[in-house]
Amino acid sequence: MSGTRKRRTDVSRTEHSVDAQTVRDERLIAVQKTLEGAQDVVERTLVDGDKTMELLYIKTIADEDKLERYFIRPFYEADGDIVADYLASLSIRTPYSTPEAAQDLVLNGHVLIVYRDQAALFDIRLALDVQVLPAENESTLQGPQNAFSQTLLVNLNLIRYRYRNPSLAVELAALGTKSRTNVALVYDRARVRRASLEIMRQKMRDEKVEALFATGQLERYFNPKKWTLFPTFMTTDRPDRVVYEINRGKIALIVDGTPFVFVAPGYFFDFFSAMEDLYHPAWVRTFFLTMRFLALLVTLITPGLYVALTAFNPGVFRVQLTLSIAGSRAAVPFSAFFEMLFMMIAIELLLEASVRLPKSISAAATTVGGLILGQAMTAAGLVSDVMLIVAAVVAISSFVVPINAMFYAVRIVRYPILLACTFYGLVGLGVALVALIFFLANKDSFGEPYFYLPFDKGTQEKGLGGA
Amino acid sequence: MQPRFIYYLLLVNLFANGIGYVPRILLESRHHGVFVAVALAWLVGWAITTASAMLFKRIPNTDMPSLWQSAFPKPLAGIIIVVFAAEWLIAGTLNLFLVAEISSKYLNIGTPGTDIILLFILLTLFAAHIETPKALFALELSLIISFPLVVLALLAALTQQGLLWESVFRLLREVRVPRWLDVSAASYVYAGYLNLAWFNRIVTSDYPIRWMSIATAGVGVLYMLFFALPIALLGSEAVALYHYPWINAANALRIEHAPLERAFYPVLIGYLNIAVLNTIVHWHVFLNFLRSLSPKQPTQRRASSEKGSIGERLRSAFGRHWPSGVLSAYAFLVVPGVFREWPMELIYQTSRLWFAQLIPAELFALGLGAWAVVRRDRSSGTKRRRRSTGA
Amino acid sequence: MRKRTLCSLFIGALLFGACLSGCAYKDIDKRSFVIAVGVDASGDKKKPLRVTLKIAIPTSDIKSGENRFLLLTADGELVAEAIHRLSSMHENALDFSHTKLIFIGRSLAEEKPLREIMDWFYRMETIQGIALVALADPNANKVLKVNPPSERIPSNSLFTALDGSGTPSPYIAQSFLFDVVRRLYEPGLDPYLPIVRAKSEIGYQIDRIALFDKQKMRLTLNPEDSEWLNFLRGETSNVDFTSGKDKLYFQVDPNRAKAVLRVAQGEGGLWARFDLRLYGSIDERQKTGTSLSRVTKEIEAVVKEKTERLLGRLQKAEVDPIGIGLRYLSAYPGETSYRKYRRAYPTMPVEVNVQVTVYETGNVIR
Repeated sequence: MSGTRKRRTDVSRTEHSVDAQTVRDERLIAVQKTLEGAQDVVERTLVDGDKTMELLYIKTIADEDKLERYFIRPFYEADGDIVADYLASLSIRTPYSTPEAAQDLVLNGHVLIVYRDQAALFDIRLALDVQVLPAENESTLQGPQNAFSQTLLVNLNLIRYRYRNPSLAVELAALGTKSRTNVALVYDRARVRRASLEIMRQKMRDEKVEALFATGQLERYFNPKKWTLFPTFMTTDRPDRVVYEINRGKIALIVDGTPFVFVAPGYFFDFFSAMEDLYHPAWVRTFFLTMRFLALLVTLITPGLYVALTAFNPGVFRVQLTLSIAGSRAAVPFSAFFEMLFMMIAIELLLEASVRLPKSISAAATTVGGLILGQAMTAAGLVSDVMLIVAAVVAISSFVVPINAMFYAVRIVRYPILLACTFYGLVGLGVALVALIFFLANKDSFGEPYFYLPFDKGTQEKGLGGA
Repeated sequence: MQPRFIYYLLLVNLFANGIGYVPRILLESRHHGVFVAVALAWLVGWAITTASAMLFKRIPNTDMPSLWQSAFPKPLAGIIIVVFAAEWLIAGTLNLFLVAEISSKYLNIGTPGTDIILLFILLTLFAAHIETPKALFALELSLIISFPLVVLALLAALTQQGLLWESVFRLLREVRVPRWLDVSAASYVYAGYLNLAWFNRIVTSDYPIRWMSIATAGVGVLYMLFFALPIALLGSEAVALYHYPWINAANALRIEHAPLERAFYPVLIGYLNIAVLNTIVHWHVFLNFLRSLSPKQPTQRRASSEKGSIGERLRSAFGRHWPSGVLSAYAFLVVPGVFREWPMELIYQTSRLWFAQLIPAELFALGLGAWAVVRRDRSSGTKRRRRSTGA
Repeated sequence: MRKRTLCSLFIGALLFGACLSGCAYKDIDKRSFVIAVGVDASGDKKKPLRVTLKIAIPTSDIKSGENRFLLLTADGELVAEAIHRLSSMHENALDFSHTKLIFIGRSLAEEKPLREIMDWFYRMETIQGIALVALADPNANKVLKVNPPSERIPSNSLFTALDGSGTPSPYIAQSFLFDVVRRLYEPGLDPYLPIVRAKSEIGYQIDRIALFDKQKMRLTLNPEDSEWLNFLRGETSNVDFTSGKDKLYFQVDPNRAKAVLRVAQGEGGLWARFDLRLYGSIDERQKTGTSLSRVTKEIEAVVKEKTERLLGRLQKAEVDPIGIGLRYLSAYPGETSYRKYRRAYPTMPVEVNVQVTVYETGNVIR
C-alpha cells in the first residue's frame, strides 16, 4: 500500500446492494477482516427507525467523546437526509477509496462510517501526548523555552504558529513498511533548494525501515554510505530552530511520536550554532561563536598536541612548563600516548555512564568517577597531574558543541588525530587537521556541499558552483 | 563561486614560496642587485597577473585546457596541456620536497624524511582528488586556520628588538643589474593567480581589473616585508649561511609575554600547512589538466560502469582514472626515490632551472590563451557570418 | 569503494610509519633538558675544549621550590665531540631544545676565535636562536655551578637577568645567539658579550661587557663604560651616574633619552656624530645650593666626556659594537667603502653633541 492520503482521489461508488439495512456493508467487512486480530476494534451498528449507521473504529486510538458528539448524537437527533448532508459537510471527512486505504486510516484513529450506502472515514484521533514540554536538549537562557511534543499535529501547529507564511508547504506521508508512521515534510516553497527536496522525496520513497519511531533511524537509512561519522542532517526538538532553518531554505521532516525533527540539508558549521546566537547582540554572538570554534579546535587537537609536544617537541613550551610536565610524568609508568588514551577512554565511559544512569544517580557517578578517581590516579602516580588537566580541558571543551550528533562525532575524531600525532608528532597534527578539513569538504548533504563557511552567502543562495 | 577564492590562491602561493625556495635563491645573489630583481619581479608579476586577469575575463567559466581544446587541433592542444600539466606537477613536487625536508629537520628530528614525504603524499593525493569547488572550500578553511600563525610571525618579527634595518638598506642601495634567475624566481610569488587556469571554470571573475592590480601590489608589499625580515633579523651576511633563511629567522623570534616564548614552532607549522596546501592546489590543477585530455563521457558514465563486458568496464574505468593513476604512480614511485637519493643541493639546483624558465613559460601560456581566444572568436564569428549569409 | 581503499591505504601507511618512526617518539621523561652549555679551555693540548652541560632534573613537586641540576663535563677537541662523549655519561637522551644559555670561558675567548667556538651552536637545528650567549669569568664551569637560593629552575635567575625580562639593570647587555652570529659576519658591526662573574657559590654579577672584533676578544669594559655602551647602542635608556663635584645622582628618564648617530663622508674623510638628548632628574643631591643651570652644564660635560672616552677606547681597540661602520655602509654600500671604513675607523673624528634637561625629582623642588 503506497501513496499518501493526499493523492487519494475521490471515488464514489454508487452501485451497491439495495438492502443495506439488514446486510452489513461489505466495505466495512473488508476492513474489519484485515483487523481481525485486534480486540480493540469496535464495530457498531446504530439503528433509529429506518436509519442505520455502521461504525468501525479502534477504541484505543479514537476519541470516543468526539464520536459521541459528532456522530451518535446527531444521528439520533436529526432526520435521515440531514444526517447524510451533515456527514458530508464535516471537515474531518475523508472519502472511502480502497479497503487498504481505509484500513490505514482506521489504524490512524479514524472512524469508518457507512450511512446510506455512503462510506467515509472521519478523523477522530485521540491525541494523548499533546503536552508541550520545555526544551532540555538544547537549552537556551533567553528565547523560546518549549520543545516539540510527541504529536505530529501539535508539532505542525507549533511550526505554523511561528511561521505564518503562505509559502510554508506541508506534505504528509507515512513511512515505515510496517509501522506506517505519520510524517510531515515541511518547507518554505519559495526558498527551498529544489535539488535537496527532490533528493529528500526520493529517499522517502526508497527507505526500507520497518518500524519508524525516531528521527535517528532515518539518518541511518537516508545515508548512502553505511559507515559515517559526521551527521549530515540535524535533529532538533526546538521549534524555533526548525522555523529558523525552514526560513533558510531547509526541509524539516516531522515524525509522529517523537519530539525530534529532522532538518536537512545540514552544513558542518550549522551544528555549532546555538539558537541563543540569534537572541544576543552581535558582539556577544560573535564572541561566543568564536569561543565555540576555539573549543572545537581545542577538543580536537589537544590530546594529539599533548602527545606531540611531550614526545616529539618538548622545546615548544617554556622551560618552566616543560620541566613541570617532565616532573609530573616522572612516576608515570605509561608512555604519553597510552596515558592520554586511557584518560580519554575513562572520560568517555564516565560520560556514557552519566547518560545511561537515572539523573539522581548520575551526579554521584560523575563525582566518584571524575573527582575521586582522578585524585587517586594522580596520587598513585598512574597519571600525571598535567594530564588530568589536559583531559579535563578536552572534555569540557567538547561539551560546548551545541548539537548532540556532532558532539559524538567530534569526540570520535579525536582518536585518529591522536594516533597521527603519536606517529608523526606536530607534522602528523598538521596533516591530520588538513586531511580532516578536506575529508569534511568532500562530503555532501542532500546534494549540497557539506562544508562551506558561514559567511559564504553566495552558496546559500545559489548552491554549489552557483556561478 | 565568489572571487575571494582568487585571493586565497594568491596568498597560498605567496606564503609557500616567500618562505620556501625563493628567499635562499635570492639571498645567494644578495650583492647582485637583488632588490632591483624584486622590484622588477613585481612589475613582471603585475603585468602577467593583469594580462591573465583580462584573459580570464574573456573566458568566463572556462578553464584553459578546454579553451585550448576548443581553439586548436586536438593533438596540438594535447601537447600543450601535457606540457603545462608538467609545469604544475613540478611546482607542486618541488614544494613537497622542501616541506618534507624542513619537517624532518626541524620538527620531527629523527623521523626519516621519506616517511614524512610519504605522509604528505598521501594527504596531497587524497586532497587533490576532491571536486574543485569543495577543494576551494577546504582550502579556505585550512588557510584561515594556518594564516594567523604566519601573521604571528610577521608581527613577532616586526616588534622584535634589534632588527638591523641598516643591513636591509645596505643591500637596498646596492643597485645593480639583476640576474635573470633572480627576477624569475622573485616573480614566482605572484604566480598564484595562474592557478585560475583551472579554477576559472568555477570562480567568477566579475571584478574590475584594478582590484587585481591592488591585490598584486598588496602581495608585492607583503613580499618585500617577507624578504626584508630575514635580512634584518639575521644580518646581511649571516643570512646567506642558512639553508632556509625564513626558518632560521623564525628561530630568532622571541615573544616575551606569550605562552610560548619562541614563535618558531607556530610559524613552522603555519608554513608547513600552507606549503602543503600549495602542493595540493598544484597537483589538483595537474590532475584536472590530465583529466581534460580524456574524452568526455557525459551522463552515461554510471551506466557504462555497471553494465557491459569486463573489457568495456575496464576501458571505461581506465578512461576515467588514468590521470589519478599517473599522479599516484609518480607520487609513490618517483617522488620518494628522488627525495631519498638527491641531496638538497641538487633539488635546489633543479628549482633554479625551473625558476629560470618560469617567466617564459607564463608568457607562453598567456600567449597561447590569447591566441586561442582570438581563434575561437574568429571561428565563431565566421560561423555566425556564414549562418547569417546562409539565411 | 575507492574511498575505502584510500582510507585503508592511509591507515596502513600510518602503521607502517609507526614501525619506522619509532626513534622519533621519545617521551618527555626519557629526555634530559640541557639548560645551559659552557665551553672552557681545558689546558690540554690534545683536547683543548672542556664542555660543561647543566641538566635540569625535573621534580615532581614543583611547588616545593627544589632546584636540582646535574653538571656533566667532558673534554674534547671539538664541542660536538665532547657532547657526543657526554651523552654516554647520562641515562636519558640529551635534549638541546631548551638550551637557553651558552657560556664561554674567558680564557678560551681570549685565545680562540669566537666564530670557531660558536660554530656548533648555530649549526644545530635544535638550539634556539634566542639562546643567550655570555662570557663566563673565571670560567664557565664555575658560573654554571652557581646556585642562587632564589632559583626554582636551574639557571632560571641567569636567563631572567640576561634576557632583560627581569632586572632592568643597564649594565647587562643582551646578546642572543642569532645576534652574535650576525655580528660575526656583518661588516661594520662587531659582537659583544656580557660577562657573568661568579662571586660565590650562590651569587654572580653581570656588569661588564667583552668586545670582539671578527676574530677575537679585544677589550673588556668596566661597568661604567658598559652601561654607557648599552645606552649608545640604544638597548637601554635606563642609565644614571653620579657627578662627583656636586655630589648628586643623575637619573635619566628612560622614555625620553635619545642617542642619534650620524655617519657621513665629508671632505676630510669619514666622520661620525652623536647627538645625545637627555632628560633627567636628580635623584639624590647631598650638596645643595648649586643652581640648576650650572648642574646642567656640568652634567652635559660629564656625558660628553663619558661618550668621548668610550668611543676613543672602542676606536683604539678597533671594535665597533655600535655599528658605526654598518651605518656608513648602509649609506655608501660597496666593497671599497668597507675597506675605506676599516682604514679610517681607528682615527675617525667623532663629534658628540649633548643636550641635557635637568629637573629635580617629583617630591622636592630644590
